[in-house]
Amino acid sequence: MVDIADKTALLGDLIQNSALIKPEIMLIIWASFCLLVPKDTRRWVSIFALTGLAISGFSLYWTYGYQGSAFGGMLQLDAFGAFFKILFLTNAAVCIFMSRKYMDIEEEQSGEYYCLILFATVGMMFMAAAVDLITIFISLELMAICEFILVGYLRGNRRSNEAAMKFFLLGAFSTGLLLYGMSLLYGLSGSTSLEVIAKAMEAGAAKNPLMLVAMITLIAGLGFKIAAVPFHMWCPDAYEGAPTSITAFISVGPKAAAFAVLFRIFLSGLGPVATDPTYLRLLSVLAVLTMTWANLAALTQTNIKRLLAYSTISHAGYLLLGLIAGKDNGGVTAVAIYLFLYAFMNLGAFTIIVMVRRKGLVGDTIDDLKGLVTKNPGAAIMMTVFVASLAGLPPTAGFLAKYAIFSALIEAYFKTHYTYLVILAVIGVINSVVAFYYYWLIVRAMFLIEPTDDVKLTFSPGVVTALTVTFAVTLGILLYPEPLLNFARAASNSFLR
Amino acid sequence: MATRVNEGHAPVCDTISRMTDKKSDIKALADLMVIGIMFVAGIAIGLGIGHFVDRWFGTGPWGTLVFILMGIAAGFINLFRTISKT
Repeated sequence: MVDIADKTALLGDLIQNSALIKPEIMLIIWASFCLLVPKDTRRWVSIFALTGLAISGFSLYWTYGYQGSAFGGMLQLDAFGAFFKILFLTNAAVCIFMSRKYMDIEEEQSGEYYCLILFATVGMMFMAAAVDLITIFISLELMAICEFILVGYLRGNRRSNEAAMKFFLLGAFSTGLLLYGMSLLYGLSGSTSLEVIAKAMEAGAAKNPLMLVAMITLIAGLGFKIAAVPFHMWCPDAYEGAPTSITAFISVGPKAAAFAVLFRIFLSGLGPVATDPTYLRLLSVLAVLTMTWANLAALTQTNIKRLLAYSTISHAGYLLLGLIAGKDNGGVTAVAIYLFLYAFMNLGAFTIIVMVRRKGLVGDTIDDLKGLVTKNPGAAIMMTVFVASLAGLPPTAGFLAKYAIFSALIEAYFKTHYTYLVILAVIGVINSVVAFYYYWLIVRAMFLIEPTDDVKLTFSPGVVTALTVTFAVTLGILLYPEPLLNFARAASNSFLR
Repeated sequence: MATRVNEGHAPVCDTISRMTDKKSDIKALADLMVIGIMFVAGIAIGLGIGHFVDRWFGTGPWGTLVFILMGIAAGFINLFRTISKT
């Protein structure tokens, strides 16, 4: 029987731990209140949701600097988690900014929409801090279920329904695979804690033949979440069918969250397995397939959302290179920088697509951007900067991101002398060159082809804010990259090994 | 050419028409029930081939690794095709 002193200690411990997850708690409260907003004031619910994100951001600021575990080792509070949490909050905020007018046009403005965005963000935030297989799984499901609903949010649209169904069924099977891998890890180590699993791996569990199956199922399960080839087939369909604001949301946040989990599991939880050349070569094959297949498939796309879906897949390939480079060679820092900058350039490009959407016009084909420079030169220039950044051209943010990844690979080569690392870097650069072509198609449509209609872009304070923020970061980061580099380095250093 | 919005509520109409057509309903159900078996079968076949390749050519663990991964990928592709068709 537990006596009163024990109960009081338990309660005190709970309150103390809850204070450490204040940003997530605030967001959960705000998300729940979003559902209670009266029907006639639904247009203002976006402002309410943004307030929630701002309060969560402030709470994050107060808890920043604390390094340690919470809830009995279920969560790890460190700069790595904080870095990703800021990324998720920014992603959600930009998506809400672009959603306000867009959801009016789609006639689907409701509290549930913003509630789901906030809950998905909570899931991502927990994913970034999770260091226990149970916490990882629950937070991943929280994010995924919200995503499934959001993709099929346009109930009257066949494409949206179809995309949600495909996404849901494939997602369910991939989760099953991931869970299978996790159960094998538990079987091999006797614990769900990544720290204990790492110790068991060092003690010899890594040599067990079952580890091979565990690794493959984990790679396949998480490969689905980051849309790595050959687990990517859901991505173009889901992106095309989902509301454009949600396409933007799922193209950044969930991918970054999956990478955070991938880093936690591979670099913290699997100990010596993470540096095993066999698995690194397997990941290399996956990265090369992802980059090459996605870039080749993107060349033939006419729908801009599908094109950006393949672009996202190829970026997942570049990000895998950072994982292969490893923590000691700046791999984590490079991936953190890449994900942060990718968020802004990608969200910016999607904001322009959201602005093309009008009543009676989907506006998601490259042809819809024809002659944009004559209709709105500012938007055309901004879109050019975003796609140049996605292609990795200087002086945009994308150049810095790609430079960080490739230099981490080369650094890893000088330390290990594995030739395949240099080959990977060369394949990465070649792929970047291939990608120029399909990004050029967008620029060509905007600048060199005459417009076929006089449809103007949809402006609203929300999209202007989203565009200003994303454009400023995409173009301005090379002028003053120090804060981002320092934060990314701190995230990498705080990473529990 | 600008793409026009798919107006109307096609999925609702589709669901109603499908419900009235019991034959196609049962066929769709049968197609969906096969998904689980197909997915696992793909992985099992991949594992089997990989295991034997490693035993015959002494390539362990690469054969198992690559073929299981291919099996999982094939499972996903089959799943995707069945859903798209159904």
